[in-house]
Amino acid sequence: MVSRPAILAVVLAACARTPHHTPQSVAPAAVDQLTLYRDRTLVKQRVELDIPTADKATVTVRVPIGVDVEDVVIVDRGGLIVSELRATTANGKAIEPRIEVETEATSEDEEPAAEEEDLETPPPAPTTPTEITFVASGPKAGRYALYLGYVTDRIQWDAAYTMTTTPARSRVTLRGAIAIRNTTGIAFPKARTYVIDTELGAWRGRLAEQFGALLSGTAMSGGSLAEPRALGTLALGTGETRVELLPDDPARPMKSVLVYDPIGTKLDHGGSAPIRDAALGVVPPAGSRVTESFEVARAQATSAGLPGGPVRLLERRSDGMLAVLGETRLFDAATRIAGVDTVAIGTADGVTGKRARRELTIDDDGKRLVEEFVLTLTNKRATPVEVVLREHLYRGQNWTLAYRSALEAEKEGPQQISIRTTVPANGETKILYVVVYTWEPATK
Amino acid sequence: MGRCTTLAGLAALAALAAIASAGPESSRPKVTIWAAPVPTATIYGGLSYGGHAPVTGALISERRDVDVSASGEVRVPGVAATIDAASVQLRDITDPSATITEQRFIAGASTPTELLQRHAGNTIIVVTPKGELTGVLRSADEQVIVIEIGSGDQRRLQILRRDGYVQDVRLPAGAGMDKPSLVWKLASKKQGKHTVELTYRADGMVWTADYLAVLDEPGTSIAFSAWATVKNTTGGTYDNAELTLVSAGPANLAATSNRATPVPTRYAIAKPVHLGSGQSVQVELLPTRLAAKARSVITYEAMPDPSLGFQAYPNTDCNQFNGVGMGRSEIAVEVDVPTKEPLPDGRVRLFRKKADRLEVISEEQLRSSAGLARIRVAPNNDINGERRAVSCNYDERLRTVTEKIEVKIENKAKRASEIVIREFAWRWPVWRLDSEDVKSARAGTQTLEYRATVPPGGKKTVTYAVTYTW
Repeated sequence: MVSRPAILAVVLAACARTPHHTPQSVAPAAVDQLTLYRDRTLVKQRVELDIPTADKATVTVRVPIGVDVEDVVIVDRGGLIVSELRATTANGKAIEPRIEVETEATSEDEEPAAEEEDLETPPPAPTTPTEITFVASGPKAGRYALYLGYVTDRIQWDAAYTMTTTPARSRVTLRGAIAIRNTTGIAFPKARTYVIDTELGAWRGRLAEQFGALLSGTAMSGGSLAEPRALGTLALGTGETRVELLPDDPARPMKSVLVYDPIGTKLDHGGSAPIRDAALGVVPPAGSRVTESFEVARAQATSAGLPGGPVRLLERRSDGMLAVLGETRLFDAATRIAGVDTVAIGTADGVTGKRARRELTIDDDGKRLVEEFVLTLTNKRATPVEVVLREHLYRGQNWTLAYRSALEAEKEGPQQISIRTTVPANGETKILYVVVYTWEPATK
Repeated sequence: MGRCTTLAGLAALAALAAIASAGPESSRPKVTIWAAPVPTATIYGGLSYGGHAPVTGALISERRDVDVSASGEVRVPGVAATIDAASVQLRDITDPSATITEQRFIAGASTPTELLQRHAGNTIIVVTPKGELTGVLRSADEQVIVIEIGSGDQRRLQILRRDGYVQDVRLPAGAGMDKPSLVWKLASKKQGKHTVELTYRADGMVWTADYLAVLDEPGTSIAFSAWATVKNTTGGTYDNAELTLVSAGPANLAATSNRATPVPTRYAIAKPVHLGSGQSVQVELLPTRLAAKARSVITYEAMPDPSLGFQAYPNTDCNQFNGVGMGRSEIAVEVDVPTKEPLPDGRVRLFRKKADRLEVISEEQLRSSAGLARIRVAPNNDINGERRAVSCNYDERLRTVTEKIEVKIENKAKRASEIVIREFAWRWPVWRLDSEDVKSARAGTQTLEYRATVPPGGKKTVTYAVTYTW
């Protein structure tokens, strides 16, 4: 209960004060933040509010469809004290009490209707943004800003690229765009946006391991993380927004190569323990097709963090028409750290390959699986050819090349290597390598 | 001067409003809610093995001004639709000697048919394409309305189809007949206005704890906040409620004559809360800790905790769960919290600020002991451990099991680590610690924690003896 002398003191103090209270200025460049993952988006939503002289404000904000109050956290309270958050159901109605239905048989001929006990109609899917109301107080009157954090699956995106070259086929210009579809029901007029090309759960797990290694001062094992790519500050309305990924990328060198990649990434198993199936990768036998391809140098600085997507290699002919030379995918996880991108445009005449396994040994005591492969390239052309052999260590994430007959094997991704070799005219070249998969630490 | 007069007037109004709302304090509804029960992690020791269902729902106490009619009937509309009518208690503040001689609960009417049925016996107006009909409502269902029209020998029943024929129905204004209501017959010396205090239990109200931890980039400073999410699906609205939240205990912890059940922890929410029907509300469980020191520790458990499976009967097998080969170590972040009891179970989301971005690190169940909150980050392979029972003795006559446990750990990391060894007094909930060579902290009803800083390559042994009795 407020005493009368206290009220009088407040009134007198207010009368003596300067009449107009200027609101605090808000920190500059303060915007929403979106981090787009493959399956979800992490949103940091900025909310500005005025705290009046009575020191408490009730603010209602809209968050995406399907986000409930328990999904929302206050990640930065901006000096405020938030004592309460609430939400109504997305359709604005209270949840109705359960209705029990009983039925009776109406005639002797009819089967008595089964008793329907405790039937509960499932709640309808929300179709409107959720309104979150929160009560906040501050140290003094003025304008404040806090940040709400939540995850939504209603912002999806896809990336796609084009490579355009000339008839000389010596350089190529890479362009890309990301299309962001916002079905949250709310717009983000000013959102600093990042894209990370992986699922949120996988990213979070790797981050946790990385952070745990940082805390304990140990080295982290396993493959590389996808890098965040900044897309800038976007005006993301409801619907689709298209953002250029490489607007000013300079032309890159391109050259013709032959590629033998009989397995591809379809067998890649990302687990730490290797798959032990003896037939994996050898049944059915690998194909013999060697492709004519173009190899484009990847500029690591400007390509860092670009999301995976399809690419078309186009040739602009002298009459201005564009012709499609080939299609592939760029910047997938399998080739995350590669120095080049390769686009197949056809089959290489006169050059074939063969892949055969010479050994498979599983050592349970030593926790090692050893596999030896020999790849044979045959060139029936009259000139020597350079061939890029692409091999995939598909059994698991923990592998080592114990031996290889070629000088250099370049790691292009967490489970992909490439070996370059020259096959003499009308000749044959054999490449042999041994891969060792391990599981669990060698000593415990 | 004019401005000061206005301010003085406003302040007076504010004071009056404060007086009106503030006193007496007990005029606000009081709502005590039990937490959602913790799910059991094992198929053993469940309800069929002697467990029991923990208390759920809410206890609601509110003051109402009611009108006691000459017949003693009192109608209290707008109670929770999920009320447990058998739990209703009434205290008549106006006439303390008043007693309830009869009680009825009338469920709420939420569909058009239910609303119509409430007005059976009342005069209604039905609008049809052929005009308006005024009569007494006799019956209504999804397909038809039956009204009695006319009088004397002209009186007759008319059955009207609702689909297509009945265009409108006008009902007399009711006095809250559509809301869930309690109706009493009160034996009281006074008629007219009474103030009563009504207390009852209702389902459909539950709360869960949610935690948020935001680390700075190096991971040395943390902002930690604790929230309770309250869901109100009772059908009732409680404005300005004094809210108390009660933590849940283990779901299958059976009360027996020789064992005291753990005392639940009560959290009184400082400010009044509006609990609207169908709403979810989050309230602060604890004041937020900003820029608190974050400590990294490695926790080691030599075996998973099987204690939930031995709540109905003790385990007397000295050879079981010797723990060899089942050890697990994890790296975690700890922060001090100002509580004397462990925080209630709940989910904690861990974020980390990195440059200008926010990263999600983990979403796990919070571990807590008195004054401490711990957030799991990732598995850790630097700690090797071994647990063995040095001695174990089952005395069937005295009904005791006494065992001495030894836990050895080795730090294989290249730097010193603060290690928390978590041990479980898993055989039976009634136990005592007979001896230990390192002082432990109680982290749960059957969980002990031993802390040690172990140098790189170093080893540490912890030994303790425990006796179980039943």
